[in-house]
Amino acid sequence: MIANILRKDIRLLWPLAALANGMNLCSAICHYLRDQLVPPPPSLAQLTPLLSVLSLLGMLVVAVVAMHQDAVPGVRQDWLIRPIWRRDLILAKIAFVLLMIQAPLWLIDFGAALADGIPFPAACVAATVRNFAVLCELSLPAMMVGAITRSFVEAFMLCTAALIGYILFFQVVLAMVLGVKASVPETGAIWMVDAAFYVTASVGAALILPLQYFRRRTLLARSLVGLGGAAILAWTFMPWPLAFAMQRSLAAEPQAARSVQLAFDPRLGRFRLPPGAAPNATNALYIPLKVAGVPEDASVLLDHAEVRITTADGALLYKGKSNISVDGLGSMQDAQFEIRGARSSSDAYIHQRLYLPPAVLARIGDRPVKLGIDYSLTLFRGAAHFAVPAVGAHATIGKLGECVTRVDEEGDDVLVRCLSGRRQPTCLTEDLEDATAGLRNREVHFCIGDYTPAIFGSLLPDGIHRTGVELPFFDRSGSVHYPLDGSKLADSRVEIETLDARDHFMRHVDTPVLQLADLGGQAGGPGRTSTP
Amino acid sequence: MTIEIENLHKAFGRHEALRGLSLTVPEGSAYALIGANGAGKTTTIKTVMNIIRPTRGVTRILGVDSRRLDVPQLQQIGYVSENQDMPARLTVGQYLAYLRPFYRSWDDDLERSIVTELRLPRERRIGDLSHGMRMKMALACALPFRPRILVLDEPFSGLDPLVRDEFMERMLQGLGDMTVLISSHELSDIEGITTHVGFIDQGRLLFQESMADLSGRFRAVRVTLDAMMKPQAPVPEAWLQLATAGSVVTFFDTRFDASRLAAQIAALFRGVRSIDVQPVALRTIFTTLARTSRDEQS
Repeated sequence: MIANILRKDIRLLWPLAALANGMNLCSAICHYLRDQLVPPPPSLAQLTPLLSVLSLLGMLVVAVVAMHQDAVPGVRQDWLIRPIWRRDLILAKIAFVLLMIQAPLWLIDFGAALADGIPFPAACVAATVRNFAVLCELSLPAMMVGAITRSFVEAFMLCTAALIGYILFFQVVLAMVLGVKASVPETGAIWMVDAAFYVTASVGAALILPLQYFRRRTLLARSLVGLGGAAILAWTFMPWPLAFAMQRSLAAEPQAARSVQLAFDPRLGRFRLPPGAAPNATNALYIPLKVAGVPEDASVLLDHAEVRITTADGALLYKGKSNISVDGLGSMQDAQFEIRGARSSSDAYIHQRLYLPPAVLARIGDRPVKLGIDYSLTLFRGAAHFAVPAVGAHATIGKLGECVTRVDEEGDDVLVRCLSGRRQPTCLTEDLEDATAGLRNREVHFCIGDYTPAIFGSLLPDGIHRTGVELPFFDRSGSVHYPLDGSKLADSRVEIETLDARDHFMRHVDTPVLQLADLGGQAGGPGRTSTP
Repeated sequence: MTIEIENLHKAFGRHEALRGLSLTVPEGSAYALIGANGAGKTTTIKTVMNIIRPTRGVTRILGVDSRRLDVPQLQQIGYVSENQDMPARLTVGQYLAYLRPFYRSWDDDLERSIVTELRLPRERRIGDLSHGMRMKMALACALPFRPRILVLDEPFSGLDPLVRDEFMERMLQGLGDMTVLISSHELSDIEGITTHVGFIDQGRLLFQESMADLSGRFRAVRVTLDAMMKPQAPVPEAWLQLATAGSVVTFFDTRFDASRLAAQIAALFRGVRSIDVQPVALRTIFTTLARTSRDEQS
């Protein structure tokens, strides 16, 4: 009977499913063209993300409407008085979602990955991981919403009400009125929210669908859905120590950062603002830190810091976070710091930037205080080293996947673009080298703390992970001279080093009694301005 | 008994739609559930069909608690309701083809003959059918598997007389030894098939009995007197809607006994010139009871 119900639903909904899948296909084609065309037409660049979002919305609508073909709430549905096993009905709905949403999506993602040159097994994995993400984050929630509503209008109103409830409670009451901010988002542990979503959606679907189809307990089912949604949102407010402890338990190489030490070191002196910068332009404090024991070729990245400011006898004056913006100032990268291990010395000195609310700084800036900072950090280590021709390379480069190198449209950068079916390293060092001539341009290095496990795919835009780096070799303004310029590109190579997160660890730093005003940036001539 | 209801309660918020309703539908009977709007007929039927769950009490159909009604029972129950949502975008033929595999006893020939007799257009979408056609469609979906029980909830609502006749005709052909539970306002239409009647008022069953007994005890009585006069003593409780117009007194005797009626009238009125006793149609019985109930409430 499952096939009979499935046939009926397909007969009724194939145009809608075809439309959603058609949009998905168009989106994949646009992505492919955008990756291939140099330069991509502006209209294509605008259309592509729009199509990605629309195709997901289309899939969402199809899943909800499929459930509404045999709606559970209400007393008028014909199926209620037909000899249909409820189990068959649930399985038919799941089969419909798998067949009409998930399977075409998998095929499109798989085809797109193959077209992008990703090898067959990696393309399979990429399509499967994204499929799983769409199933958990879109299809299952849509099925649950469909099972607890009787029409699309009702489903839309329910979602709108949930959105308004979310904004009112989390954004207005918690964030704006009470000043409670989530710890987990905007850190490398953001994937834990995805994980909560995956678990809640799977458990929720396993509970809600049978509850509705076998018992028809709509009110209870709606309450459970609301509870699940609230649980996911509450999860983002989980205490940071708990989130980081979970992250640490997943470290690839626990104890790898055992040797790393952080200490307050006033010998570094005050941070010198760049020439011409206005003193006290921000509320930033610059904490002089000595970092020792960072292994060679390793990199240490700040994930989060919790700051306590106390009086000399320990009375708490202020408590806050400094991983991202503090109290709304700055962006994620502002206060983040990275210490890279050096071959010559195991010690590094750094000014860690710390923002304080202006009112706090005004209140306690001139008082003798002590700072206690709990740093949550991640150690990255070199995973692999590759070298490819600077121009015209087309090679498979480890986790980076299928990479090409070429000169950009302006003719001043070498572009390295990589497509992969799996998560790519978040730490990269790339430079242009001509080993025979002994020439080497300044390296480009970036590190983004994102520790999402490989099983978590992304809903948007597709199953492919993209990395692009620009390596400059010519400055049109003439202010920078590159040893390796355009004339030598033919003999040059791009050296690429990837780094993987190996260990997550915490360090505590205490300062002696000091005045916060003494930690502000100092106007003046050239000095240490490269950190944080 | 094919359908049994015991002490059934159903509350929607503060409103109690059913208040301890109990009734039994004998096997092979055509049981008419009658009552005013809002009396609780549809709620009773939907509870019997497990479409809504009772607040309290038990309903059994084919020996099974309605709350446990499942495929084996539903394969023997046909259901037609004025508010029955079928897939609007499927055609008549497609929906019948969809339903066919769910019923072991589905008779294709019977289906064809019903569709032909009811003149249902197989190629037309259900959503494009008129209300009358949709009701015929619901009947066409309820009969081809030769159900043991046919449950009809206001099947004639909004149907024109022609469609109603076609509907009834087809239904009568299929009855056989089927048990029918029907709620309808169109009492004149169902009178011909009804064998038992249950009268519901405000969520309670006022009485239930066979149609033969009901028809036997209900009479419209018209008494012509020599002159206008009021009754000399309190009128029997069994006399409803007593009215006087000049020298003529009319009432409905709900416990008609030909041997006692004349004496009862003589005890209340002097100068009785004539007594005319007529059988009463089901519709009149219903309206009499409904009016009396309403008058008592007011």
